[in-house]
Amino acid sequence: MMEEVDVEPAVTNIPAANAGKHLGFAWGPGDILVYETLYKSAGAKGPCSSAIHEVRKDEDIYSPILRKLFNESHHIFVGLQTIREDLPSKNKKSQFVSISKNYRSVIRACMEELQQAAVSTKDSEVATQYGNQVSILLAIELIWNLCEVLFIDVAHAGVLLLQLLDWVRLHKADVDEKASEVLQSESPAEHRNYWDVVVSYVLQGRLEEARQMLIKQATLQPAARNMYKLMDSLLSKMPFYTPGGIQTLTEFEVKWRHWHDEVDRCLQDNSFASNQHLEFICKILVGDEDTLLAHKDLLGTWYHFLVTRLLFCHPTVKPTELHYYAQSCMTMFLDSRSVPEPLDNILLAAFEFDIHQVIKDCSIALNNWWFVAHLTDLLDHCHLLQSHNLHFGSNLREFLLLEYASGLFTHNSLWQLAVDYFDHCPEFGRVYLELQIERVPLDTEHKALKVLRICEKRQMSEQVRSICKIMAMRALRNNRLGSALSWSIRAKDAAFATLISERFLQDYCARGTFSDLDLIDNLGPAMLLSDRLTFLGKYREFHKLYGENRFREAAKLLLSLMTAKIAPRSFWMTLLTDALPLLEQKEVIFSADQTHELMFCLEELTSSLSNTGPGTDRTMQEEDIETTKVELLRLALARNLAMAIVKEGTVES
Amino acid sequence: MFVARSIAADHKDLIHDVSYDFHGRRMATCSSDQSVKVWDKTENGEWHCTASWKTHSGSVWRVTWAHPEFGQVLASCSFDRTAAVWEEIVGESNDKQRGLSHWIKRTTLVDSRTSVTDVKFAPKHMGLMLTTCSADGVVRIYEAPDVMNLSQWSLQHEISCKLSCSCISWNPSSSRAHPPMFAVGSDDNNVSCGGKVQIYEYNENTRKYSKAETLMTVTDAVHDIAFAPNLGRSFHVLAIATKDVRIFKLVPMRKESTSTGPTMFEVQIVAQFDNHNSQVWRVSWNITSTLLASSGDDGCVRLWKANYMDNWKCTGILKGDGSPLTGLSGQPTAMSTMMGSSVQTSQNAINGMSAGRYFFPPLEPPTVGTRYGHLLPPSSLIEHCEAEPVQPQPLALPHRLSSKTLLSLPEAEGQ
Amino acid sequence: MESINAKYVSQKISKTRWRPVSHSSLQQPDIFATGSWDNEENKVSFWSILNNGGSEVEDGFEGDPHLLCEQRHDGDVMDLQFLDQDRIVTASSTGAVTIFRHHQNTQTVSVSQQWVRAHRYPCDNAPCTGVVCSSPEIVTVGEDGRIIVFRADQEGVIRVIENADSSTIHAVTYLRTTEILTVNSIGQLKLWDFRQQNNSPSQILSLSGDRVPLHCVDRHPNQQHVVATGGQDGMLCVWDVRQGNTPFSLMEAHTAEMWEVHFHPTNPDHLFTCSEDGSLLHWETSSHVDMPSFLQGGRNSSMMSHSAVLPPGGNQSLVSAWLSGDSTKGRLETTHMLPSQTLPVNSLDVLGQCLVCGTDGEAVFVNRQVSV
Repeated sequence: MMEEVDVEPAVTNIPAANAGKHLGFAWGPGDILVYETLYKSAGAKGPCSSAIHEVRKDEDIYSPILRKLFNESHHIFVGLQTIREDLPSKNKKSQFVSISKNYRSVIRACMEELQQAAVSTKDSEVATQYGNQVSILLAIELIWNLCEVLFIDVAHAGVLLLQLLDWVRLHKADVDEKASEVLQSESPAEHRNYWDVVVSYVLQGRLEEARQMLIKQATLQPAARNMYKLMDSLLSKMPFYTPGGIQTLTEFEVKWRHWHDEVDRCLQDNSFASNQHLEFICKILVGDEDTLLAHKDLLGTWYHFLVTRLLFCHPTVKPTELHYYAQSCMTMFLDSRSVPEPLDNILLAAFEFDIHQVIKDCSIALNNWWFVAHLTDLLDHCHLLQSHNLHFGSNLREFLLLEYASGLFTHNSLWQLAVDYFDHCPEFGRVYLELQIERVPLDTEHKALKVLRICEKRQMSEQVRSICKIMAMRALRNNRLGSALSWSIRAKDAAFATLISERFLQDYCARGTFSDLDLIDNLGPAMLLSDRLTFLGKYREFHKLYGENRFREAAKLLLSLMTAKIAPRSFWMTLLTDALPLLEQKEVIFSADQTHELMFCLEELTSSLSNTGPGTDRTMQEEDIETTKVELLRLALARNLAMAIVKEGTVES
Repeated sequence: MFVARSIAADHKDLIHDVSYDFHGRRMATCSSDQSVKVWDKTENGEWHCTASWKTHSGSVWRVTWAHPEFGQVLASCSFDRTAAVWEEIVGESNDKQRGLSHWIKRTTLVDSRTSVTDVKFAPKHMGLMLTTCSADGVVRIYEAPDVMNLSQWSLQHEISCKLSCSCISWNPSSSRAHPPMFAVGSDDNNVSCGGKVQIYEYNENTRKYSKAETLMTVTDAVHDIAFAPNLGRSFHVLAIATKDVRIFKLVPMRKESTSTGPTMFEVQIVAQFDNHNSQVWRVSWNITSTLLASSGDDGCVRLWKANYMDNWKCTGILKGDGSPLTGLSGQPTAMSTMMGSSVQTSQNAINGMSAGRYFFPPLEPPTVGTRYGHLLPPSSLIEHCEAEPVQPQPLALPHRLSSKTLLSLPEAEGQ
Repeated sequence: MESINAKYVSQKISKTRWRPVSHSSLQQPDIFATGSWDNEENKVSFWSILNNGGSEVEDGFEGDPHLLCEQRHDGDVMDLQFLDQDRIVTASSTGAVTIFRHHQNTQTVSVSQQWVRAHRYPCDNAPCTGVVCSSPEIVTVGEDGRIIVFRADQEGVIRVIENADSSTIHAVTYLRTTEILTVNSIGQLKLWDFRQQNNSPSQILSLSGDRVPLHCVDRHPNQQHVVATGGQDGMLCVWDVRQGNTPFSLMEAHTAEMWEVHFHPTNPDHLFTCSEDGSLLHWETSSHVDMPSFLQGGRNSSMMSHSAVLPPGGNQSLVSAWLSGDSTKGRLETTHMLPSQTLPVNSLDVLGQCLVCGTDGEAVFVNRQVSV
């Protein structure tokens, strides 16, 4: 269907040996690392440089000025995606045109800034770089503007020519500079560029301005006054179609034909024979091709020639006829020797209404994903791209948006913009985002929170879990147990929460106090994430109750930690030891039943300990302490049981 | 494309592998000098070597990072018949603040009787698992059951491939529809030995890996192999470095529900390129698998990309310019930026579909006007909350180009 | 005309601050500072909104901010506070605290003092997340849970509270000269009294059980017990630190993290908030408690207030409008101040009639006619 323009792949030189050596590489998120190596040491083993080169892909995204283009257009792009489908198409069209103009306005602003920067820099290399970027943006805006006229605004006969005139005027503005130079001179009519300016005005259909200029000449030549007057009248009478006016297109055509005949008559009867310049202008007005072509230098481009020719020969040209005139004007304008440039082909394809060719050639020639992605997206919203069933299921719009957004993700900082682009790629946007977002370096918690927000908003649960896990792991490495626990609670990572709870308990056993009380005291429902975390929270609660002298509640909680199997067996001895002071209070705190249960726990513990065999890696001393503890406990339990029975018996009776 | 900066790696012998960590903020290098170096990117994008230590008693072939969920962990493999796992430790020392970090060996895996040619961590959803392959034709899968204790690794699977192995690649898909799967390549030169790429798949019932497929068309020595990220597709894409670059598609065939055997695949070749002239040594995908890079005997790195019609083409070449740097030492960022070729030929080509940059006939430069009125929100956008929530709507940018020298855009006149 | 002006600055802006103006004058601020984040090379920049040479006046677009000078900053600028007219303090993701001096005669910036790795883990740097100044005193907080006190005129550190928090401290503000208030990532406010030598907070306030991280805090300029905070859920909380340990009122404000909250310094019935959701809100409450009942908030702001409890001995006219609580009596109006945009607004500052904010869309918005 479309021809592949076959172009040689671009070669990037790496400061490394090229003969007999290999280049190794490694993909990074935004670059490729390249190094000299030798994969099979079969060959001669010369000295190898051990330099590693960081090769970056896209230079444009590192330009501070183009960054403004990316950021500003992101906003327009997002706005475009929210235009509602159900709007009446007429309203939509005006919205699309206004969006198109917004995009172009951003390009222009960027271009101006680049131009200014190119002029003001002292570094010639930088100036060249800026200059190149300007020339690319100029081409982009030129193409975009034409696409806007032809595809988005869909100008009809009559209006079409007016819009093409505006297009040419906007992009061929050097006449204004020349004009002001002429007008500022002492004697404008004698300035060497005077006639160039007059003719340029005429070529662009700026007849009012041409007349103003001619008056200056007329006053200098009183003898030729009538001739100037005639020209002035011809220029003033040239009809222009007024869209939305009462005049119909046919009426306009009749009027225009009438005027054309009048100009032709003047030419026939040699009204301007004595003034070569006026004669020339008159020939332009009748649309004489040879005369037009004689002014190639003033026209500059074939498309200017095309528009001028249409202005003076076919002012009511229809969109469908454009391709014919465009083709012939290009052939006539370009020498037989010169080959059309890519830009010529792109514009020609636009005149032929071959949108796909325009996009395709642009993506090859302009090397700028920003442009093709945004233009294609806009054209797609205008329903101008038939959905092409592409091989991998995506469509052209999505393909280009994915490319553009992926490019943004290679940048340290611009990745945030890319998210919204991926969001609007129904087929692969999500999976691309998933792959890219998890690679964003999480330098600070602040940044991690921003990345998390993006993932949470899109229910990317696996990415959310992974990011929290990475943060928890990092906090743990940095010995920030509180932060680590917070992150694993957010990740709902029970295993990791258990692990950190263990660390807290270990710390408690080692030091006898809890660290990070502000956190542990405020776990709330998060406590339920893992058994160990629940135990940690509850155990701390026991300490609080104990500290507040709420012994009965404390005792009950302590016992339940063991009987409900919340406490790990390894911690039972600590818990039983904690019960000691409660058992030794003057007042009876554990009831007889509770004491029984405590005794049961102690027996269970001691029997399981003896089962594991005599102290595997415990010292004799530790063994002794343990035995003493158990005996103390047994004693205290027995005493308490006795007291409890006595007390309970007393109350009952 | 352009060379942004060059780093003097300062290895005393050939560099065999360079590997980025998951986030691209650290890299590890390994060399025939038997050492591994770790490099950290500073706040302003420069690389500093923060650790360098002798890891093996032979050439170190490959070095690779574990997923950061498991902490800061590296694995290396060597000619000395071992693979090793390294962990960065944090102590009370202030070394990191002086730009140094400490890596300690957590384990040495000594099961192989020949050179260990490749080492890869399995996808993170499978837990912390490490795979090695060796010249004796055995793939070994190890697991660290306790991620907090990396000194304990158990050999879970030992799979004999019959042929000397050179490379392995895990299928990164975490979809439940896809059982764990890896591909192993052999650099056996004997064409008569048959297919040099084997695909193994995990079987839930037998809890073993079994061979699902052999790519019979690949009969020459295979040097590298790489599964592409899955992108939610039903099929898998595999790139192979052999005497040329090949891209295969593995389409799982419908399985009968009663069948307990490995998945059968329909193997399709997607692309094949012999631009490297002779042997191809490395293949690797970028994050979203839109680009494949390969390195070959022509001394070039080539970049391959499918356009939207799924036509694969070479879109960029990285090539030594014949001026190996010799005087580079010490300062990691001794060289200035922008050493690449000129903008005309290099820029952007890596992005793919487009490959060259044409230059346009000189258009008129824009005349500079005042830039203003960037974002004047229409008053309708500034409203009270009582009103309808603000509808995102395109902002009308009022005549930005109103300088005298620039003709205003048509909107300034007509509307 | 309500004019808000966007300037694209080619860097993601993390903080924006007006240079203070002298209290006596009614002068409007004209210079602001910005800090960037997440760039390969971050910067602290100074901007002017005065016309340079008056060339643009004819277009009626006075005061497009223009760059005066900038200076490289190692790491993300996490926070930014003016110490006085010439000096500004930054908090860096590298853990450093730096004082920059803005030389206004030459329009240059230089580092006048730096404490590298003020915030740190045992063997790595920890980001410094917040800074507050009351010249010459500087207080910083960080991910390492430390609170550090510096003096601009001394090289050493005046005081460190290790383990002030088991989680990350996100922001800090002065309550009075000897007391500061910090907010953390598990939804707590902690009061610290520097007159006490022990390293524990004098009071902890928290949202009940939710553990929603708090990201920003600001104190009412006239009533030192009134404090506003913003959290991860975008909720605006107003607290009376003398009254109980839970917030006085909660208002739904944003749909994502609220990054900053600021009372208007001279007209505290106005409050401004900005958020990750890309919005900037202007809140206005009426201070006359005896006003007839008005509309409650807006659709976006449901008020859930405790019933108004007057502080003992409190004179009614001194009761802050923000604590008049009873929503039927109070009038609260919120206004969106930015055109719809999707990228986060990280920071704002308001002084006089001028407001400046910075976004991840690399734009700085300046509004010079805030109706207060």
